[in-house]
Formats: sequence, C-alpha cells, structure tokens
Amino acid sequence: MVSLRRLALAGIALAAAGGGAFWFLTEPARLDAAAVASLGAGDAERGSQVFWAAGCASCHAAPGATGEARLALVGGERFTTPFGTFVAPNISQHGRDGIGAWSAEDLANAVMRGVSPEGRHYYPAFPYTSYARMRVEDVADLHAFMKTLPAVAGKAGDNEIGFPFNIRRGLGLWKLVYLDPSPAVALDNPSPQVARGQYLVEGPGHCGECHTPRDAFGGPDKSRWLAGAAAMEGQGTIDNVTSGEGGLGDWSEDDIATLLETGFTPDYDSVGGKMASVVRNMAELPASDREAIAAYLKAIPPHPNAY
Amino acid sequence: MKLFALAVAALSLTVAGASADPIEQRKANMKERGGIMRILGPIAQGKADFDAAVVNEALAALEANARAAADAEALWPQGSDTGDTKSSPAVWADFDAFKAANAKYDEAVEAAVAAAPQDLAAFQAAFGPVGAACGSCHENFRIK
Repeated sequence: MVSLRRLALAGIALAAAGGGAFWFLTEPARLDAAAVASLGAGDAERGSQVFWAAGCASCHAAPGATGEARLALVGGERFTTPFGTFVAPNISQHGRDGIGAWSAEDLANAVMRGVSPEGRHYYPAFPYTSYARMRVEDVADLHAFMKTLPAVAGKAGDNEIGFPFNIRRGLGLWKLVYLDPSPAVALDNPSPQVARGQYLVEGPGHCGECHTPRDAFGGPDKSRWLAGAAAMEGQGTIDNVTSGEGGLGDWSEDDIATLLETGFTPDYDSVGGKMASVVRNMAELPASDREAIAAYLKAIPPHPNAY
Repeated sequence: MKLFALAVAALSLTVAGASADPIEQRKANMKERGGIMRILGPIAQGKADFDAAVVNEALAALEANARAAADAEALWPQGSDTGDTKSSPAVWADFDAFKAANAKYDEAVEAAVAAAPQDLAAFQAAFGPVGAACGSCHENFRIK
C-alpha cells in the first residue's frame, strides 16, 4: 500500500516535472538585446523594397486585390491546409484591428521569431522560419514603410484549427526544431550576386515555404531544398526550382529573371496560382535582384523532383 | 431550329477532336495556344525580329484557337475536375467568373487581330492585354 502511494506520488512529481519542462521549452523566445539594438531608425524607401521582396501583400491584402488595393493590408485570405484553415490577419496601420500600435521591435519579434507583442506564438503559416534569416535593419526599414500605408478597419476571421494544433504553446517545441536562422544551404565562396540571391530567396522571399518539401511535422526538409513539393493547399504540386531532374536545369539565368518579371516561362506559358502574385511582387524589385535570385537558383545543389 | 442547333453542336464536337474527353480536348487546345505564344512572345519581348506577316498570321491562328475554347461549358463540363488536369476547383466553384475570364481573353485576342499591327510598338500595345488575360485566368483558375 505504501509502495503504491509512493508510486502515485512519483507519478505526479514526474508529470509536474514534465509539465514544467514543457512550459520551459515552449516559452516564446524573442530577439536578443543586441539584435533589438541594431534595429535603427528605419528608412521607408528602402522598406518598400523589403515589403515587395517579402511578399506581404500576397497574403495580407484582401483576396483578389489588385493595384493600389494591394497596400491595404486588411487580411482575410484563407489557407486550407492539412493542419487546419489559417486566416491572414489585418496588418494595416489600424490601431485596434491592425498593427498600427506596433514598434519596430514588435514587428521584428513577430517577423523573425514568430512571437506576438503579447508573447504568443504565431503559426508557421506566417513564414517566420524564412524571415528569421532577414537582417534586423531590413525589418526596421519595413516597419518605416508600413507606417506609410493606410489604416483599414475590420478584423479578419479566426483560424479554424483542431486539436492538437490549436494548442499554440506547443509551437514552442516545433520552433526548437525548425526555427533556425542559419542559411538553408551551404554555398562555397558565393559571389556577391549569389549571396544577395541567397538572402532574398531564403530570407524575405520565403521561396522555400512552398518549393521545399515538408516532413511529417510540417518542417522544411532542407536536404531537398527547393526541390518542389506537394502543395499545402488542395491538390497539385509546386515546381522543383533546382537544376535537378524535373527542375530548371535547361533554363538560363535570363529565363528565370524574365519569369520573375513577366510571369512567362521560356515556353511562353504564364505562371498561375499563387505564383502569379509572387511575380507581381518580384516585378517591383530592381532587375539586379531578380538576376541575383536566378544566379542563386543556378548555384544551389540540384535535386530531382521531391514530390 | 433547336434540333438543328443541337446537331451542329454535336457535329462540331465530333470535329473538334477524335477524343471526346474534355480534359484531353482543353489540354490539346492549350498546347496549341502555347505553340503560337512561342512565336509571338519572343517578338513582343524584343528577343526575335518583328515581321508583320508572321505576327498577323500567328494572331489569326491564336483567334481560331481561342474560338475553339470559347464554349466553356463544353470544355470544362461538370465532373471534369478530377483526373490529369491543372484546372482549379475554382473553375466550377465560380463558373460565371471563369467564363468571364475566358471571354476576356477571347476579346483581347480579337482586338489584337483587329489592330492588325504593322510595327513592333503597335504589336506590343495590342499583345499586352492578351498576356495579361493569360496570367489572370491562370492565377485564379489553374492550380499553378
């Protein structure tokens, strides 16, 4: 009887320790003080380039928005995935419904660490695993630019996510495994152009979010970086953009840069689905950035189709 | 009269392709369209020389190709959403919008033919809306 009671007590102690460990391990981790200190004042003009490179409008403008309406970041786009339906929030400058009250530090913690100003984890439908590779100064510039955008009232709907993915705290464990600001691929002595392309693709451009396959827990499989993937939404596949079999091996760098500017492939097919919106963003960048992306895609390890 | 129209429709359907499979039919149509775009695209981008005869002949071919796909109900009937197709479920979820997008492309092609461009600038001006119509339809109604 005594031993049974001891066992029960030991069990409770173990559960408590486990709970404590869970709580400790899943604590939302913000940027460190040095990173925050390097935010600087931010430059809105440079920030507009960061905005288009990061593709903010593709998810946070109203669904189907075109032209100037892409700067009204009211949210509402729905992403139906195996983990549930995610709804892009209002990130306009509205004080109550958007992020008008956010400091540059708030934005940097959200974008680069997936942590809200209240200290909650964001779901990785928000591509902070890519944005984690951004330069802090670029996020400060982005913040300065976003300050120039309109305030739009109206909350987007709530996420529709079932158990266990509805337990946000659990994302802390996911982040321990997958939130890694180091480069996705190791490149041997890259030229300044390739390095710029690496930054754009792996960081703000967040190309790997769709073009890299995911493992069973939804984390990117970096051993097949950019090798194509089953689409997270609905049926269909996302193209392999390495030079491996089924990829862009027979495309020139000019072909890739032209697609990013015009949406036309070397066969004069025009890209569809979400990529059409990506092209609208990329078309806003200087030609040198599209050329840098092309040079990087030609420099990364080739893989056959990963889907 | 109605019977006659039906007979004509049936006949044109038979003529349109040996295969009655709408997925195969629309893929063949899009493949032909792509072949014509490979003539016009490089010229519009300044990667190939402008030749008025070549351009206008290709535009005429593009118009004939567009007409062959103008009947959205025939090429994208209910039930042709599964199988080897990149047509998005949005085609059938909002068929009116899809038909409008298809018609917008047809109008852009017809306008380009009517413009009968005789120099590069005129061709680029006429061809721009065609390319834009390709893109917007693919964005909303094709899965990639």
